[in-house]
Amino acid sequence: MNEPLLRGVDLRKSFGQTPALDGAGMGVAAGEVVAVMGPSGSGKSTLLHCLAGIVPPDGGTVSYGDRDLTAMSDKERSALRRSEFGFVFQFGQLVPELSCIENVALPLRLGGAKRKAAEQAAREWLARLEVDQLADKRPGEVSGGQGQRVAVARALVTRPRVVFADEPTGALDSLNGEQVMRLLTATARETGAAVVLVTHEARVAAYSDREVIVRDGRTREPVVI
Amino acid sequence: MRTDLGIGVRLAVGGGRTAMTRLVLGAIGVGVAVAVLLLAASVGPLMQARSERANLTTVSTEAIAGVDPLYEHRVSAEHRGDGLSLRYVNAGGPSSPVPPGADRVPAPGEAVVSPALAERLAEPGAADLRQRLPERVIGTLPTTVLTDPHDLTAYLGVGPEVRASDRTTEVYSYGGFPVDESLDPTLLLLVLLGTVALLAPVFVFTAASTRIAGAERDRRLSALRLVGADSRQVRRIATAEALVSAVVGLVVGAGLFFAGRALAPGVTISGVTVNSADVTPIWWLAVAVVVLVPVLAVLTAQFALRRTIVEPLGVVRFSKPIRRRLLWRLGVAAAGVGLLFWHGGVTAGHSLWVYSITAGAALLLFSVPALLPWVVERSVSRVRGGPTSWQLAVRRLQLDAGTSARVVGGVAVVLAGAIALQSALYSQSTELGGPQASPSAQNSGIELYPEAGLSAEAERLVAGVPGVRQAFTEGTVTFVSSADEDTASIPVYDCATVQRLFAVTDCAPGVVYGVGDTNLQDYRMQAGEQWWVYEWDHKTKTATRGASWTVPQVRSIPEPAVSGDLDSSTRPESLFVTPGPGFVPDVTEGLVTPRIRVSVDVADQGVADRVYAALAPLSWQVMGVQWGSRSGDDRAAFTAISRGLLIGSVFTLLLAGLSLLVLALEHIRERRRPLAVLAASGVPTGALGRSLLWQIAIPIAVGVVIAIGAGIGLTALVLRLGSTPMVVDWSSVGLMVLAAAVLAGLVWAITLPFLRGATRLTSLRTE
Repeated sequence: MNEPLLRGVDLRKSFGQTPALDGAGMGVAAGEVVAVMGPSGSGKSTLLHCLAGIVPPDGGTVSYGDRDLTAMSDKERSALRRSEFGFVFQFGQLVPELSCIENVALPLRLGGAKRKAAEQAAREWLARLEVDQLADKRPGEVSGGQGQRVAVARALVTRPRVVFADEPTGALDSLNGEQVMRLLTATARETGAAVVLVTHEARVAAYSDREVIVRDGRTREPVVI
Repeated sequence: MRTDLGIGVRLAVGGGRTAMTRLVLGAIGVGVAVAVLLLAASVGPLMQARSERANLTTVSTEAIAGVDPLYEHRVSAEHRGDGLSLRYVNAGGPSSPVPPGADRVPAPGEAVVSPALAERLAEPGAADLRQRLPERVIGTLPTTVLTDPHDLTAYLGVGPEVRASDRTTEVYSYGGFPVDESLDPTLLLLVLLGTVALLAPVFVFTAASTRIAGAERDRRLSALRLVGADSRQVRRIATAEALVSAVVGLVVGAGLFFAGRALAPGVTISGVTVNSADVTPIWWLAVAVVVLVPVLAVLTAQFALRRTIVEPLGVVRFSKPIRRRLLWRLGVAAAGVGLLFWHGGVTAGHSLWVYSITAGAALLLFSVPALLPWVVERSVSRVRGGPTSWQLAVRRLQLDAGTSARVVGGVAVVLAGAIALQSALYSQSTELGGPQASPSAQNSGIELYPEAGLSAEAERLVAGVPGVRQAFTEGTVTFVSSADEDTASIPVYDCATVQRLFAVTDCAPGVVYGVGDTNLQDYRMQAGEQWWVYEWDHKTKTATRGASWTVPQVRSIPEPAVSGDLDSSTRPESLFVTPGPGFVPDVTEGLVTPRIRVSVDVADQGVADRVYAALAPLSWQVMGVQWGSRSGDDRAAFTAISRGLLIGSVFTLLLAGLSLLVLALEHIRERRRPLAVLAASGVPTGALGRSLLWQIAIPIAVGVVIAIGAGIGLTALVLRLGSTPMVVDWSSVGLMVLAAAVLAGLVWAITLPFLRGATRLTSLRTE
């Protein structure tokens, strides 16, 4: 494996008295697709959230390149999420009030891009994900599979270096799930983005280059780099 | 920052049905608040403009060198119940002042009339008025010189004979004397209470509207966080969303205000109509409204987020059970009561008085939604047992009573305000003889004031008018005691009148009669004492002692024999004297200020106009006052205010009901999955429906109890200031409570189909 772009070491996180992560760690290199697998409640989503800077860990470190995410302010982490990271979740991540094209353009606009330029880029990404005909529809007017493809377009529109996908096909039928995974991994590889893919489905994990197993808040094998 | 604000605006205006509902409700709430605030900001200029126009027709009687006087004789009368202000004028010379709004002093037989009077004179059915005012109309007064655009007023030219009248004044100039147009303190109290009672629910509603679709907003904001918006950006976006609603509300409010302003001349309350141009807010207050309303909306939106951390994975509320504190809630109520008790420590009408009453009433009303969550929480905290639906509702309220209580807070504050206002109005109208006063109280007689020597003629002219029951001349003579300490005004009737009105056959001149139990002590007189006639010179405006009078024994007589023909305003019920030698002159002479008391058929609404028409030959030489019309006007004003408030209360109640409905629907949507799970595990849909009803009904019931207490308490405190005894209109209270119950029932009924939809097993699906 190449030098990891993103690395979490000895991550610990508790929610109240319940430990979610208990010394977990993993790394992902640029252009690599890593599947994080494990049973329900094992801590795989928490691991993803800590790696993405969404949830600050109670202990351990997360480094992105030569930067320590755990030492960053909320504003810096937000900027990082906006420009370097992309997200695809199971559902709920699209803003229902905005049209599909506006949703895809949103990270660019939050980063200060002009509306026209942002929407032009968004349209291109919608076309790449084969949903450009849905540009003016709202999320509530499209199917689950189409919505996930819009979400993938939004995750990739800023040309992120890391894409975090948490059960991206969890709410889709197998045909749509396959289609979303094919498009997500192919496009990520095409752009050189790393993908951290949380799933409990083996056929989804099959799209990855490598698997990390999480159980009881620990990764099965300590990450050796 | 511009991008963030732009995204907020986009989210506010383009978010489908829910966002539009949120926007419309918010805009209506803010709009009504803006309209009422702009109206309140216009009251000062309105009163000022009326005062300035009233000032134009005030007169100066101080002689001015080189200026000839204008002899002006004012006569008040009525036509169809509307007051007529007639000024008979005669130029004393070429330099006499010209009445304001007229091109010249009208010559005898000419008239300059107000537009409303010109219109009235031109009506085909106003022949009686044309008979009374036969003068040729040579011009119309501009409304800029009239206090009220509907004023029936005229300057009528008359010959020099008018100069001899006691009531004629020599005018050297018009204008220059400020006229006090301030409101009666009681009416001012009601207006203040009304403004606060109507505004309070609007503010509560506006605050509640920011919580409409709160869960969706939370999801939206966390989605924004996920794609990289930092917490400041999220707050800016939320601010922009709230701003849009406020700005649309400002536009709606301005529209409502200008629409109301345009309609103002068509509305007359208590005989008062306003010019549209006068309803202009003080500029800095208007600017304050335009600036502060959006600021308040933004602050409310930020306040709603105060306990919230919007994170990329969702919104986290500080959901640690918060012990609701009673102290500050009671503090709000106590501050309100304190201000109403203290009322600035100044006299009624003073600006500090106005501020303290307004603030006191507002605080007391705002204490209702403040106290409600605490009381609801305490009410349900120890409730156990009951059927499934009841248990589900109570457990839900025990978990979070605040949301439900906040939802019904708007309804409760409307109720409290409406109960306070209706009770205040009811008490006030009871003071005026009751809201359903009989016609006799509204039209109870006419008094005529003829020029000296014309009493007999005036009495003769009206005696035969259909609808007139009795007409008799009454003088008034004022006596002053030997030490100039006491004065006593005693009516004077001639013997012909005494014999006509009373069962007295041996009427003698110079006798003091006491009707019923009336005696001399009531006038601080003793038989045998010497008093003097108090003579008042109208020309020199000086008083002198006249003939002396030894007080005789009172001769007691029974109630008037013709009492059925007399009403309360014309019934002699006291002491009176008959003219006699060495004592007082005849009642028809000037010294005793004669007036003719006319008792009329109270059911005959046209009798007053016929009386005035019959007096047309006397023209300016007789003035009339219609008894009962003033209190009739007041009653009409109170009826109009009461009706207006009822409409306002229903409107605000509907507004509160609408927010209740939206929040109830949102509650179902948010709890779609738990409800579906309950239905799937066998809980009947009926039980879930009844549970929803209890969740609405329990806070409503608590709200009603608090609202009744606050409303009646507020009325008692406010009426105490006007020394008006409080009478609670329980029928109005019952009506408002019933309206609230119906509203809750309606909201529940509308939500039922949505509940059925939510409890379908398909809701268990995640995709």
